[in-house]
Order: sequence, then structure tokens, then C-alpha cells
Amino acid sequence: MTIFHIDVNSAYLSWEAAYRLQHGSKIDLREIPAVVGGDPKKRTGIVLAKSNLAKSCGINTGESLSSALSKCGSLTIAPPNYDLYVKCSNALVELLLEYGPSVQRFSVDECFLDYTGLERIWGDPYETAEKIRHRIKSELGFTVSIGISSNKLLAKMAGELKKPDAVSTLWPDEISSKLWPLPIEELYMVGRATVPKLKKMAIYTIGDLAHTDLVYLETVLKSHGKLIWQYAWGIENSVVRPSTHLAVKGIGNSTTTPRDISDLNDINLILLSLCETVAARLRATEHCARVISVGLKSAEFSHYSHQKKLYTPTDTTKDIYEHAKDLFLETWQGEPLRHLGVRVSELCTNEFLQLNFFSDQPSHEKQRKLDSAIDALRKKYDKNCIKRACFANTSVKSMGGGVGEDEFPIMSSLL
Amino acid sequence: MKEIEMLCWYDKVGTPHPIRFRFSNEEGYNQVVKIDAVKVRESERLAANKMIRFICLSKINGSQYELLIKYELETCKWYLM
Repeated sequence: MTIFHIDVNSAYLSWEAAYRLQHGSKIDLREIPAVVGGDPKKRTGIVLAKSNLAKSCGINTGESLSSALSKCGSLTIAPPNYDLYVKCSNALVELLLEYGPSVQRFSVDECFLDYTGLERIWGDPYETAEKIRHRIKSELGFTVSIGISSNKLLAKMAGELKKPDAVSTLWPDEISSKLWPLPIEELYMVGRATVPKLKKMAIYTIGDLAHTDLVYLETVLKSHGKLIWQYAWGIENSVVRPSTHLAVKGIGNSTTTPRDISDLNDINLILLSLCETVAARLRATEHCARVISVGLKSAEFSHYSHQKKLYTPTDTTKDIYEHAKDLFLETWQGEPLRHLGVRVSELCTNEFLQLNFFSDQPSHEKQRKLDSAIDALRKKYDKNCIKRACFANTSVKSMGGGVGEDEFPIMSSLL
Repeated sequence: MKEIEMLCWYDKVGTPHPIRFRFSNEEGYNQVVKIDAVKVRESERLAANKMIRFICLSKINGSQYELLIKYELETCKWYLM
């Protein structure tokens, strides 16, 4: 098998830079301290992408814009343009499809291409990858890193070896020389929570992980330990899926507020707007949910969440909102908040519903019919064609959270 | 880059042929420029945004100039670069 992993370098920034250059800008955002983030005038937003010069000023992805501006006074801020990002992502996929039919869009800026058997048409994989890289740069105006290997995991790791604008390989016989010396945090699926646990076990490199006893690792990290151990050995055999459709495990939406909020009425309004979006998305997938969770982030960036399992699954906005409010009150410690999120999980089909002897069934049926009618109106006209009266004359959107554009491919954590 | 008003004709296969355009000059007055010839016509799709680039020859105030003009397909706007 031969798999390519194509990753756009600093995607949001590169795309915005290419767009501006095409429209006559003399400045390339990639060559100055620049970030893509929210609107500084509205005092909302975080850094979504940064240039190398911004990185050298100590600016990190995910930090607030005000913090970024304090580190670099001459920072150029470009607001996000998700419509542009979707178009660039589509153009990338379109170009890759010229080389083979099996292209998986892993996220908005990453794709896998199954090159198995295509050597007969296009030739050597490395040379073809170089051609693809040059074409993307000259035709689309942004750079990519391409990794080549025999499975998706190794191809993805290969792409991380040389950045930006490069092609690299990581074949199974190169694992010990190229992969194992890397720090453990570089391994895919080893995140912030896992790194300290591994370091406590004296695992500092990917090689250390590979040579750790699997039984011991599973005792500490359970199934995740087995997964990352396999990844350290380059063991992964998922296929390149042309469709990104996966069984949905959960649906959530969150939002960062322009100011710290501590008024309960304002918070409830934001929770309601998030529940509207989550419930609409849940009904669109024809599922009900058993578990509802609420996530909060305070003004000091401390994050916590609370969840509960329902006796009977639900898909109505009212139910999800009532439970979200209860969860919020149970967990909130009264401090000013900056970020709120609502998520539903443990999904099941909404073809039939388990009734609850203790709940008001006629009212519940009425609620479902109302939600269904509202969904139909929004689908036919626009999602803003109808909204609850409580959102009138407020700055809170009636359907909050999300990126605002439809079909924006969010990255999956599953290869 | 300036947005301009363009008079253009399209042949049977849909290729645009710019004729003349109008723009606001530095003094704020409208100026009309006739396009004498199109030297180069090529497509570009930087950042997935399809445009057609024209390098045109025009006489402005008695002097011959080479102008870079772009036509943005999605918005149907013309730009003088």
C-alpha cells in the first residue's frame, strides 16, 4: 500500500494570504507577524492560525487576541473567513482527485490519497508527490507538506517530519531511525493529558513507548495505551475512506463570549442559543441523546464540565435546555465566564422513543411537533427566519456556537 | 487594486473580450480607457478563487501602457491591478 498525507501549511493564514495577494495586496501575511482570529474591536476571539514571525514573538494558537497583541504590537489580525477555507479545501480535494479516486478529507486542511496501484499511471510516488506539491503551490497559491508511507498513520507522521513545503517518507523500515527518536508528544493521539502520564513512566520518546511492555501500558492507560503503542510501531490499517461519514458519537456546540459574563439571565440566553443549534443538528441526524453535558471556561481560563444521563433519550430543544440549565447551576461556582458549551452524546435512533411514565407525554409530543415545524421552516427559508422572542433586541444569536458556514469539515480524531 | 466598470463582449465559447473600462482616477474624476489589444489571457485560481488575468495594451494621455486587469468569475467584478 502507498498512502499520501497532504497537509496545508498554516492553512487559514496561507489561504487568507493567497486571497489577499490575488486581490492586489503587496504584503504576504505569511512573511509578517500575522494571525487569523476573531475581531479585536469586538474583543472576542482567539488565535486560530499564526505566521512564523508571530510564532517567534511567543504567540500560540488558542490564546486570546488581547494576549497576542500584548506580545506583538505590530501584529496584523485577519478575521476568519470559513467560506474561503471551504473553497480552498474543495479545490485541494479536486486537484488530488485528478490523481486517484480514493481521497479522504481528514479535516479542512488535511487529506489522504490512496496511491496504491497508481504507480503504473503516474510513476514513482515520491516524484508524483513532488509534482502535486508544486502544482498546489503554483496553481492554488499555498504550500503543503506531503508524507508518504504504507498506512495512514505513518503517512501522517511522515508529513510532520519536514515542514513547510516538503515531501517526506516514513516507510516501516525507517521507523526506528525517523520516528522513534522523536519526543513522545509528537506521536499522533498522544495529547496533553497523556504526555505527563507517559513521562511519569519514564517514556520520553516514541522509541521509549515502543519498547515499553504492552501489558504494563494497558494497565495504566487501558485501550488508549494499546492504541498509542501500536502507533509507535507504525501499526494501523484503516482504509482511505472517500466519504468522511462516520457514525456520529456526539454533537456539541460552544461559544466564546465577547465579555466576561456572570449574570444568570445572560448565561441562560447563551445556553438556550447553544441548545437550539445542538438540538437542530441532533434532529437532522435523526437521533436522540441520552447524555447531556455542559462545559464552562472562566475568565481565568479554568475549564470544567458536568454531565448527566437521562432516563429517557430526547431530541427536543426544551428538554435539552432544561437539563443544560440544571447542569449549569449544579456546577457553576459563580465566577465570571468566557466560554460555554453544550454537548449531547450516547445517541440512539429517534425512530421510536421509550416513553416515561412520569413525564407529561402529550406536552412532549407537542414539543416534538413544534421542533419539527421550526426545523422545516429553517430548512426551507433560512435558519434565521424564525427565532424565539427572548433573542429579540439582544446581541445573542438565536442559534449559537459553530462556525456559521454549513458543511465545514471539522477534524476527526479517528484515522 | 481598483474595482472598475468594464464594457466587454463574449464570444460563442464564453471567452470575455474587454473593450473599454472606466475608473476614478487620483483626482477623483472618472476616466475612460480603451483597450487596444489583449496580449495575454490566462486563468488563475489562487486560494480557489477563479479569475481571468488579462495583460492589455492601452493608450492613456498619449502614452502606451501595459495594464494588468483581472476578472473575478464568482462575483463578475473587474479589477485594475
